[in-house]
Amino acid sequence: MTGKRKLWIALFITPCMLLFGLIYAAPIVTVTATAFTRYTAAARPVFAGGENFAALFRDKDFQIAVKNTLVWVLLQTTVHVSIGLGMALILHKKPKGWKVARTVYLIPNIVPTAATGIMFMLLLNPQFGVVKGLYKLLSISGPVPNLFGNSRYAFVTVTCTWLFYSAFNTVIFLAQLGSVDKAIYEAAAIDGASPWQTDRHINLPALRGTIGTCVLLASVAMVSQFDIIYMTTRGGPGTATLNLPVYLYKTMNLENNYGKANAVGVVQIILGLGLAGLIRLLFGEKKSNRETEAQL
Amino acid sequence: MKRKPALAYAAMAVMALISIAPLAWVFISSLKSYSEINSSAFSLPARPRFDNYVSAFRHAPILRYFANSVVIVGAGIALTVTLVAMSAYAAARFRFRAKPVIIALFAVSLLLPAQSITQPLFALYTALNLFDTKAGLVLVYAAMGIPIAFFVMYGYYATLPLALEESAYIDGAGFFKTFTRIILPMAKPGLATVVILQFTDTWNEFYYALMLTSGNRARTVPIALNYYMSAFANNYSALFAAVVVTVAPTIVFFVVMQRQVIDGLTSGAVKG
Repeated sequence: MTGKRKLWIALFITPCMLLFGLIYAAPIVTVTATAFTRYTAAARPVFAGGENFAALFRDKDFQIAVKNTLVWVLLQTTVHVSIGLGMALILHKKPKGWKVARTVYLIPNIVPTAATGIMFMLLLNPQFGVVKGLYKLLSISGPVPNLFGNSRYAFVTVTCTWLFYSAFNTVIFLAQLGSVDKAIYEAAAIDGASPWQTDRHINLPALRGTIGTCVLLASVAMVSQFDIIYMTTRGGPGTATLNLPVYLYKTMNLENNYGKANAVGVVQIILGLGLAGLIRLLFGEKKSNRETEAQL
Repeated sequence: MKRKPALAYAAMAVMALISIAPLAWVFISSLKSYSEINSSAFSLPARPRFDNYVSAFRHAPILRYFANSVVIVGAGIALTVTLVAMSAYAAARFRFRAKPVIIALFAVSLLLPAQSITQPLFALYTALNLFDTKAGLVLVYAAMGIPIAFFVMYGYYATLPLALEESAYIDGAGFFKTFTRIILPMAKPGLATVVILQFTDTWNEFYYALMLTSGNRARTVPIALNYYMSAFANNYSALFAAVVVTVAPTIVFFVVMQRQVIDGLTSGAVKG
């Protein structure tokens, strides 16, 4: 390769890596380093060993945040992905109106998450929301439950704002199903395969790798789930809907404890990567994400 | 190949209902008066009224937030596309020592939880005077888009035939000229995918907008929604209208650009 071409390659790569390094790579180094320091809004970082991590793991709220995060990962990687898969198998058979159904189903995934949060807050508001409407309609007496404000219901309510909205997975599955050779379906039809048998023996095996991808994406999304929780409950009431990102937010913005916040960040990174590694193992194939799988 | 269609239609109907009903309810409520909203959740307005919209626009600079979002998201997309068009081309066509490292870095960063680097980024932004500026959000959004965009373009360049480039080099065209005259025109569909993907990711971005802005100067649409929650705390009929106004353009954009959005979302998920 000529020297001139080497220079061009460097010129093409460097700006991209500079921006990436400034915004991503450098902060990852800083976050790891300062996680081991005493560091607040008022004081510069001083090395403190594993103090922040020790404090975290003693903290009841932190344990709850980790537990809630893991429960959400579990629900999202199973129930959420399955719903998306089920819808894909239905829509793939192109029943009448499937395109409209796909469009409508995708709308909640396109709306800003912050808006989804507000809409559910309004919808379930105990003073004027639909729960009160239902109580009236069915003439149920007694106080209208505050679904976001009562720690008995908050976790389930928050979960319902995202668990069923799996259209993103549905379109990924549909795209993969679209690449299955049509001749296979024709052969199956000639052999008299039922729709269920077609799904079981053709579609599901064809989707194996894609299911792994969707499970991974669901896990990544839940480890960093923040917007809707922030808009609706801010992790409350109490710690009912507290997860790692909200815990980090509170540690940083309310406690102003930067060292501890960065320790939470490190735990969050390790948890996210650990779950990703586990999912890869479970699905057997080397698939890091929806974009890289063709290359890596 | 028809399964019991009744079951399929039931599933489709339920999904459509839970997808559209909350939106429809918010929209209908936005046309009701304050007392109508309070008296019954399921009633239709006696007559549709737009007072809520008038007061939403009067009490919050909604158009300004839209303008902010358009500028920030637009500049962010332009920056990502430019940087990635170049770097992914170099990586897709040539062999150099740092390449495996770069690819591994991008692959891992796709798994990185966004919030984990909040504090270092906040410190960096304060030091560089980027806190609460449009430029600051542009840089974050552009950087966040790089890994995904890189892999989309890396894959896309790999599908382009080498022959045209080779003949350009034989004809004596230089590296840069070959890139701008031969490669970029062929890469347009890939770049369009990146634009759509980056748009859907950043138009709705909430967390960094929340952490790295503080006032109206750089407040984007998603953060405006957070602001409305307190701004309209005692005037929630206007809150309904503010939500509708904020959400409607996104939905219209999606319905019009549906094909491209779906292609963008699935790009790379399916080989080839």
